[in-house]
Amino acid sequence: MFKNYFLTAWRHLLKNRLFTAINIIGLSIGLMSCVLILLFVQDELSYDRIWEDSERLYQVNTTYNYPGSPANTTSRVTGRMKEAMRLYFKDDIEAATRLNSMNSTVRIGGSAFKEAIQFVDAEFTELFQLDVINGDMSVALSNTSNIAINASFATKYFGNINPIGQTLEVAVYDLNRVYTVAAVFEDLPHNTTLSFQALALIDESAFLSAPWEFDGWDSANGWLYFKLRSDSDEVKVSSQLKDFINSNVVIPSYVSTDKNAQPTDFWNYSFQKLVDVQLNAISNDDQMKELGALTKVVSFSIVAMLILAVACVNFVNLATAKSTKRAREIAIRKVLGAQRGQLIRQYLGESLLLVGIALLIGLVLVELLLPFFSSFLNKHLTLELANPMTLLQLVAFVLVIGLLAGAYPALALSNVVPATVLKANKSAGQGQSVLLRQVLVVFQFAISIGLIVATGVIYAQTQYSITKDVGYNTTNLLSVRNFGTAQAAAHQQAIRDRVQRLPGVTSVAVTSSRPAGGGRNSRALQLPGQSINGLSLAVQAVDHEFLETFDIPLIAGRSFDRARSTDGTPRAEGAKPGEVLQGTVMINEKAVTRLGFGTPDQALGKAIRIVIAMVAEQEVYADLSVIGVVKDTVYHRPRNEGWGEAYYLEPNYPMGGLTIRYAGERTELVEGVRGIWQNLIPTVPFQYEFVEDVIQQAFSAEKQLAILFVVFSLLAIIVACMGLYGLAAFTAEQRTKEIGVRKVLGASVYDIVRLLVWQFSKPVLLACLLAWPVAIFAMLNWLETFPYRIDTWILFPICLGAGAIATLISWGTVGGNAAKVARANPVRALRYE
Amino acid sequence: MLQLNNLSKIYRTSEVETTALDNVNIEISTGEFAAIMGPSGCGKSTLLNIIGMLDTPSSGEYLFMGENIAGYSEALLSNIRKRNIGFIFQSFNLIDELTVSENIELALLYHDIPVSERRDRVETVMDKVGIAHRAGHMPSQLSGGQQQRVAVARAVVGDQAMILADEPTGNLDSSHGQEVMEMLQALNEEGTTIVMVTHSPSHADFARRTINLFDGQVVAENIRAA
Ligand SMILES: Nc1ncnc2c1ncn2[C@@H]1O[C@H](COP(=O)(O)OP(=O)(O)OP(=O)(O)O)[C@@H](O)[C@H]1O
Ligand SMILES: [Mg+2]
Repeated sequence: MFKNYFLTAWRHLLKNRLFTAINIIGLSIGLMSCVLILLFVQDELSYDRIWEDSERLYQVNTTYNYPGSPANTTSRVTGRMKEAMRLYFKDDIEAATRLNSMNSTVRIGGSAFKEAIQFVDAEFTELFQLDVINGDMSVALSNTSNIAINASFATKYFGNINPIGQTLEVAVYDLNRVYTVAAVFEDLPHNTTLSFQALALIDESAFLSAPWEFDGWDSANGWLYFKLRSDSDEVKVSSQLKDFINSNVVIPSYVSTDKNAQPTDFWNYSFQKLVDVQLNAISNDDQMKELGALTKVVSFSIVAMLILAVACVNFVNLATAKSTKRAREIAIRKVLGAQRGQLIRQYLGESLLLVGIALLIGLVLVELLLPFFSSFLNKHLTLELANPMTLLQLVAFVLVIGLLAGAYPALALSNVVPATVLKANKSAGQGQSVLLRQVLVVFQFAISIGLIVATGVIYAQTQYSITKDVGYNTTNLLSVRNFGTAQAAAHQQAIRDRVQRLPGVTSVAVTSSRPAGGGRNSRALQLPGQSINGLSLAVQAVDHEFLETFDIPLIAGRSFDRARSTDGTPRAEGAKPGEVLQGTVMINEKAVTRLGFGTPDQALGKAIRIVIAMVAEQEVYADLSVIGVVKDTVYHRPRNEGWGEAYYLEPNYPMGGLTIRYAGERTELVEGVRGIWQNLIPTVPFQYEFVEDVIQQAFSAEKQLAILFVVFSLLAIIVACMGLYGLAAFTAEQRTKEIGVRKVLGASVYDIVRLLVWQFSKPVLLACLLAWPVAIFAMLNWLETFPYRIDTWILFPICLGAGAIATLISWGTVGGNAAKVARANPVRALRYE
Repeated sequence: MLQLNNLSKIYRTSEVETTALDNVNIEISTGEFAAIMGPSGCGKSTLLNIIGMLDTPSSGEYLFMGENIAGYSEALLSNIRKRNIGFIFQSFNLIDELTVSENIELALLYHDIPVSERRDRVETVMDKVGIAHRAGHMPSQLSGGQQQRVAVARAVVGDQAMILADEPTGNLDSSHGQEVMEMLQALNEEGTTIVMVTHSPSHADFARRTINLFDGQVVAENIRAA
């Protein structure tokens, strides 16, 4: 019995080569996409589940909520938070650890390198378990001159030598210490949001000169993770959080002098399950790594299902189209005693066979493409066929798809009435399945059109983001890293001056933060004569060449002038407690609005008051009058909107950015700067980047999304086209006689092609009407996630374009068949009856 | 073998009502060879389909081997059918994807018969209809006469007591037609009941009894002397 089913199925597949090929290729592509995307999704969902008790691990976030400006949440917190939480929540928190990478330099054998060293608390190992290859983590984190390094760090610097007991020097701020390697651990797997090459115990006493790292409440520079006790719960901690903040956190007087204000009016802390961070982080800002996005996971899952749906539609369409022929076979089987159940099982078995074959081919494709796919996504994805879970999933795939695709044809076919089918050459009632096929073709086109629209919008938005005006000229700008390290600080002026003299260098700017370098430093300020609490602007300390180097237009007033010694923030040395000194400042347009200064021209001459020093426990103020208003820029984070910013010319402000505008060749310039750097500060690694590249990279996630979307949409469209081609071939074949008669009656080839092409254009039009609203709705929602987005009217030409593409595709697919049939000799067509 | 009492069949479509069979009374006894004749559209095929339980009458009684089969479920009917009735069609109705022997074996698949016995029976019946040398061929590689012989083999391989043949020679030339008729006659002589629809008077002569239909009614019956 089974053999007979199998034989009929097999020979049927062989006989209808075109249909079999269409079905198998379509389903293979569909299954391949599904498996690839499933691997991607599973991987995204696996983040940070490698840790024991991962469900009890949390990341803490800080939200700055200053009245009048939008709340700003970062994934980092102040260093004091850890002890405070441990104490307050001692019954709820089992362990907690900070991770703070700062910006350390590693020196081994006279050379300097940048490695991601995280300074952590000893409790680190209670939260995160590393695979120790050599040595002992608890020893490594037991004193402040031991270090644990990962395997690639060990091979890179120590080669084949046993790294345990080897020493290396770490320099950051005033810390300059020889560390002894006490443990080597396996590199972190890619599916964690943590990132580090080495771990060392925090020594707070070594960072007294940088109080913002571990002291004070007003700066968030490190990460904090805690592990909840198994007998406590999230809700309980949440409910006490406000109380905790208000009884622990101290709001500095420059934020608010209002005695009745609560700390929670300005600063809030929240926490989130670590396992949710990868896809659903409260804050994407300042995480250790680029995170994933739930929208990406969801949209790819949808695309995978659409491709598969298109392939299933092909199957149903072709199977029902062919059913007239198969109806006879079924009728005979019924006459010979087959029962409906047996026939249904037979035909479902057939579709399962087909899906099974497609799965095998799909898996081969997956194996071939997986290396490219995972390197494209920067992941290490593997298909573990030996894993029973994977096998179970694949079997489930085959069953679900086989049943989905096979159910309708099986039910329809097994319903055949033998007396009707066998009696004459009459074809069995086809009305229903013709309608079904039309509906399904419309559905396929709707999917294709929707995907084309989505692809178009994603592409347009990505292009827009990358080429968007950031307010300054990003081309021909070289940005040098590590300029702010303690070792470089003393040589900044010399480096600047020498770089300025290099051939090809047009202008050099020294700023407090690097362009597109992330971060956000704010400074609280007041307006003289007014008492507004919680007023603040982002800080950028600049030099005289800032505007010229970055090519930022001045909207009103003037830039800082070397000739005027009173320009900039005054020095506080020698000032008396409570004294108010005078100086100048530049602000951007957003700041003008934020401060309520009216127009840029009206802003000139108005003053802001900042605290510049504390003398005898009392503030020394500076009133800075606005001398210039500059155009808004998106300077710090290319993906965000710019913010209100003040530009200070301020002696002693730590400067971290060296940016060079050049006219010549890239490599020559880099070598020139490197020479100067290595000559003056050989102990600091020379690292650089071109600003336009950094901005491009900031949108690499969107670019990746766009490329994958294009690829998968194309696959869906190809599969749909194949199905349409098969259906067109079938229709043309079926209508051979009708076409013969029409030709005998005088229809031209053109008339006939038009007839057939029109038959397939109607579904496209219908599909447009279905797909457009859905696609527009979905894409408008997607665009909402961007602070900067393309004009929404662009959706209309994209929709029309998608419709036109679909129409052309349908003509191209159908036209060939139509022409062939139309050109055939009518006599031959008619004789075949 | 079977008995039809006041049997009628009316086809209703939205526009017209066709009375295909009108109060037909026929009795066919075991071992008989009956030919049904009549002009096109008089209801011959309809009658045969009802006898073969592929169709149900609109009114009247159908006793098969003494049992009134009215109201039997489809599963039950298909069970009775597969054990007792073999079909032969004008257009052969072989399955294109199966070989000659597989087509014949198909009739045994829906019975519970072990593989080896199935093989034997298929061999025997192929020898009997003289198609054994074509066992591995596909239907499309055979002539019409050969295809119909396969169909005959398929109809009897399950030891069916009755064969229903609807114009078995309609698509064949006269010599092939003759061969098939001889084969049916031989089967009849071995005891198989045969009911056959035909337009050919000479082929009707193979039957001992001829039933003439006109407009759904039995108009004449001839029984030829043995
Ligand atoms: N499914 C049906 N629906 C409606 N009318 C039908 C149906 N099947 C048969 N008829 C009608 O019933 C009548 C008898 O049909 P039947 O096929 O039994 O004729 P026949 O005697 O076998 O003719 P022929 O010699 O041409 O095969 C015809 O008028 C036919 O149109
Ligand atoms: Mg007939």
